[in-house]
Amino acid sequence: MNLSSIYQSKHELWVKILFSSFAINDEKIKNSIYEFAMIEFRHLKWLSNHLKENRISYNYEKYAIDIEKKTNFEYFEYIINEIKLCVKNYNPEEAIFARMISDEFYFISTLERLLKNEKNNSEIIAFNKNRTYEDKDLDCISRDALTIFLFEESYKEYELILLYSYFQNYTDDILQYNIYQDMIDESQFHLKSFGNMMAKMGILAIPRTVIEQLYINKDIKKFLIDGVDEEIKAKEECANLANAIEDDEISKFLTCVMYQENYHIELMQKAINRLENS
Amino acid sequence: MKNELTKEQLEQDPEIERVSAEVLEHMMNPRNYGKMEDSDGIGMGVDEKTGEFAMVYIKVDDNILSNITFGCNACQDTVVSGSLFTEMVKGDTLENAVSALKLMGEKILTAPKKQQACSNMILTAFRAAIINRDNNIAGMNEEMFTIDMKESCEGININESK
Repeated sequence: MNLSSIYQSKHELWVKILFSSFAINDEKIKNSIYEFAMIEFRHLKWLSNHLKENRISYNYEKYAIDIEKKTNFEYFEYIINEIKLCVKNYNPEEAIFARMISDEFYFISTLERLLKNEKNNSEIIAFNKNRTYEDKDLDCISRDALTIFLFEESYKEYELILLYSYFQNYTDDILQYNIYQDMIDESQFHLKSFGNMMAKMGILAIPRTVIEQLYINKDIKKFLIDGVDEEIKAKEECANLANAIEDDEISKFLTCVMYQENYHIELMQKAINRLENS
Repeated sequence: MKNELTKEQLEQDPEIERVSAEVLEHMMNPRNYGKMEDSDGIGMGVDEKTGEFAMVYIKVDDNILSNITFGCNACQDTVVSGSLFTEMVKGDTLENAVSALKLMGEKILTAPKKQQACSNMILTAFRAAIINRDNNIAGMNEEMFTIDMKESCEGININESK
């Protein structure tokens, strides 16, 4: 398998582990698997840098992923299997892959340990399409609005993580690199929050593939300028939804997201200024 | 119960976006999403106002639309429309697919304004893919055909460009 294809399988592995973590209810297990996903994301970053240094192109294409499982144990087995399939393609002679193998062997051993205790098993509700949120009394309009919001925004955050990672990989400017890192971190937090909310509502789904016209040969300055407008619209969406949903906890979270958008706008403006002056 | 509308009230208000079981299924598992490597027609519908776009890839064998996929940088309405439309026409004759395009174009006029624009983007991209295929059969070496939707909300006044 060539490096571009390994990159695709690593990208898929990150998504599979990340969304498995969202699907699992048990907070402790969820957090462990989420940490594995974050380490996988760092592998992806190393690999994209390795590809750039070797002048090999890569993209964010991914095959359809069937993430729906019935129990925690099915997820543990699924992740173990997917990691093993991915590792088969590594060249262990290369330092970058040796580091990945070391991490992934640890993930496998942790998951195998979890499989030994039946107490770690439980039923998955992330796909039951129930569209209830914990014990909250959401009316049908709020429920539909929240459903659409979560689908739109979970895709958007996934897209932003990938786009900013791509731009980060191809910039030599430290300031831009750091801004993109901040944006990635913010989007990771949002994706985690939205993904976990979707799972609670039984509507968890893998975001669709980000098409390459959005990042390859992209005018980054225009992307950022358009992005500022999008962030302003996102702020309005959050404010409207927070008002529409008569639930204190969800409204507070949406208000927090809305204020975070201000910070994003500030960062994006800083990146625009840098691009204009460079 | 807060703001709870009856089914009849919801059906009467065309501007209320609803998530039916069918729509939710297509949101969770969009059909035929993604790039097609061996397509013989690629079309793009672009909403210039928003910068959103949809791409449709087609593969025609013996006048049968043997494969159709789509991708988009747009909202969930576009994803659901693309999923429903491609599922509907895949495996049918090209003529029937074009008829379905017209029928769906008429049907979406009853949808909320925003949904009309988003669904039109998919239909426009499909039309562009057919043009791209025809152009290439005629000997042009054209990567894809793009249709800019100037008045996307109305679904009219489109400017066609390569």
